Amino acid sequence: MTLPDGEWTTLKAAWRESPPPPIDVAALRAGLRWRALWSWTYLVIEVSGWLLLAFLAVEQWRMGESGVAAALALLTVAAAAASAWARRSALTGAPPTVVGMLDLAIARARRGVRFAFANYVMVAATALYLAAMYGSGIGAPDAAYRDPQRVLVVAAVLAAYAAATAVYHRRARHRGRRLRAVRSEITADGDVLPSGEHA
Amino acid sequence: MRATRRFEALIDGHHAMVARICASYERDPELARELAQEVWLAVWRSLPAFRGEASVRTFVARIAQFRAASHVGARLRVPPGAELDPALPAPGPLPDTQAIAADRRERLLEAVRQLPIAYRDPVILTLEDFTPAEIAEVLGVTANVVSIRLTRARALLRAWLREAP
Repeated sequence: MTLPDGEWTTLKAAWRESPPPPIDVAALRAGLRWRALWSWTYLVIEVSGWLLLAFLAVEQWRMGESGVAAALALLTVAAAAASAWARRSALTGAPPTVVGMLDLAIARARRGVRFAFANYVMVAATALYLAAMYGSGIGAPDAAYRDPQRVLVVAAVLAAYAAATAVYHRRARHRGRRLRAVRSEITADGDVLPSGEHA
Repeated sequence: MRATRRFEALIDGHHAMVARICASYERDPELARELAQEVWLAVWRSLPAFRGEASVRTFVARIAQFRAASHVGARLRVPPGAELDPALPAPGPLPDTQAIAADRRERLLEAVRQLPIAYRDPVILTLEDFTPAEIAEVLGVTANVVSIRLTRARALLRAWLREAP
């Protein structure tokens, strides 16, 4: 059998010798439709969540619980801002090169890590606030934040949110590390060894 | 509707290139197919922002290279027991010439997969008939760097292909 001899002409000929695996355009279009549908569904769920938080904040404010109302309002604004940030197109604004796209993706991964830290701070502050309100003698004895069952539910929600943030944080950190390694390899000035290390 | 037709025309014209790029980064045939789908989804999402500042082929290649490179990271993903993509050759017994051609291409593909990403990117684009200037435009490095890497990569490929049993 004749192998390509290492000259570009023969390598190019060998490269195109076999047909590529077929692509199912109908399946691809169906996939796009599903993604669009899921994206809209997810947006509706998110917006419903903000509206519910906003409603709860207004209700708490009307009941005279201005501290709880402020915390809920803060959560609503933070969730809406995080959602808007996460929904930006991954490639919008990237210079038209692979390195430019990598830079944008690395910047997004870094922001993701910062966003996770901000979430940790927010969860910790909310937990401290709830614990302080629960343990203090402030307000009416039958206030919502004195009900152990409700406090337990809120604590469970906060724990779930913190766990989800931890997963997101880990992914963003790994993605950033991996992309930085790729970028440094592509843009290195020096020689590159077959192992991928720089000489 | 017009956007859909434009997108399908892109797939018709450039899927072979996208499939080859994905196969160069992902040895597992199923994952390579998924990666190709991801590339096309990214192309679909980026199409509205495409202003024709480069050729359509360059636009698609750029997205494919970016997606593929970020898919595998700095290391080649080698799933245990992954073999040749059964979809590459035609199904059923192959005529001798086709079998030889498929084997020759698979050996070349394997050699390309062994290259570090810094060499693999320009090699793949060269095999797809991009000029060094176009490759520099796609990757965002200088044409001089591309030429140097191509020279070194070709030496590696030549050596590996000679060593192949």
